Amino acid sequence: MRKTDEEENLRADGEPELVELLHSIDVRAPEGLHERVQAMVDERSRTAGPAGGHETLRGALYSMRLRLGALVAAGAALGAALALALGGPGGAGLSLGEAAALTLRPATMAAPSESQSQEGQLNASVDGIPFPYWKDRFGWRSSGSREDRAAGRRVRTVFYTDGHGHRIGYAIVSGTPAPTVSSGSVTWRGGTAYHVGEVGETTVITWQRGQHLCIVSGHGVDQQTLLALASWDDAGD
Amino acid sequence: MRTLDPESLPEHVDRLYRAAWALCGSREDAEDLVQETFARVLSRPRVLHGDDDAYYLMRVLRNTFLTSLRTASRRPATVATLEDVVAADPRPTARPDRALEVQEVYSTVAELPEDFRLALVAVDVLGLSYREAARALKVREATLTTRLFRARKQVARRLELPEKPEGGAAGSDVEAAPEPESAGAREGKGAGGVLSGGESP
Repeated sequence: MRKTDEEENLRADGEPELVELLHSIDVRAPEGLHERVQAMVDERSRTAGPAGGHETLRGALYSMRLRLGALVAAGAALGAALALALGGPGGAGLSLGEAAALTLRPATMAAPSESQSQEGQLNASVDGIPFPYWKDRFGWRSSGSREDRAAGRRVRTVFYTDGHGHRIGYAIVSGTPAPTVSSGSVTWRGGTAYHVGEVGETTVITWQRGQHLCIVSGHGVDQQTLLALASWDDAGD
Repeated sequence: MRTLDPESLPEHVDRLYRAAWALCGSREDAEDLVQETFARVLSRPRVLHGDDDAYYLMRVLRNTFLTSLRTASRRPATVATLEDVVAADPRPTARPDRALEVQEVYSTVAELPEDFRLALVAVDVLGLSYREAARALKVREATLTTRLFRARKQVARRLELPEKPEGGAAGSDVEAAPEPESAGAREGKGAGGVLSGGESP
């Protein structure tokens, strides 16, 4: 212990049992949180390059300018790579696996908050199509988000987590008409067709809102839950 | 002066999570708070003025926490659901026998007045020195010391731990007058400013 700490403890060393108790708590953060933070750090490292250790202010400003350039270049490269991997700019559709991949990747951005002006919505949307707020009604709270490109379109995905550690990804693909998705059966809810497919053991639901393609899926989340959530959102439009 | 290395951030997740849990009293809110804190930190390069990472993270955690409090105060109150109750079992601890104890301790801390809570979390949960905690919370060390003393006393009383008799340097139980800056922060004037005050040019 540093000398200053020893001196400080003499100044306010009340309740030593409480202090000992607080120091002894070794609770570890949930794995999901570790993964999301690591994903954010990885994303930042990819776009900004390695951070410096000890730098002068001038050096820091210089490296920031370099990082900005690297960010633009890396962003362009990442977009091109993803577009190529997911169908290319001219692609008219997505495979079911590609659609599922959009919703199963790690979050790289913070969770959007609940809209204060629009009940049942988050402060996040794609072309005016809002993401739903599910926490109060269903217990699924938004826990992160990310942006990708697929089939030449911008895709935003919001992730939701329930109290048992399950996670759902809800993606909205920008632009109309919506890209097609090769999928399995069709279930109708409230006049909307919901396409239900399976990728391995993961159910993937795709449908359209305002002519925009929407995708939801999540490891270990059953079809009925996914359909209920997707169709509630549709009814709430 | 140095830039904050993003690669070093994951090692602080557990410590920051415990601090956030003690501030919020809820594991779910703590997760949100920690994630939002890291998202803010990572949004651009951060220049630290010779400070410890934990000190800097406490500053951002404090700002994010105060912002979330203001946002929450504008929302209608909601009742706890069954799932909230079930989720209160803090499983991720190395000692399952202490799970309920941890929940009880952090819930008790979260019931403290905001200023006391922040002082106790900064020093006793996050492990900052008094000097670092005072700077992170934008108060004088004397103020921090008094708040910490009173916070510990209140928590110990509520948890029915053996209390130390009043007295001693910090035992006067008279809180030093808050600095104008600190008062402004509590009124929501300084929360955003702290983020720009020394992180990066």
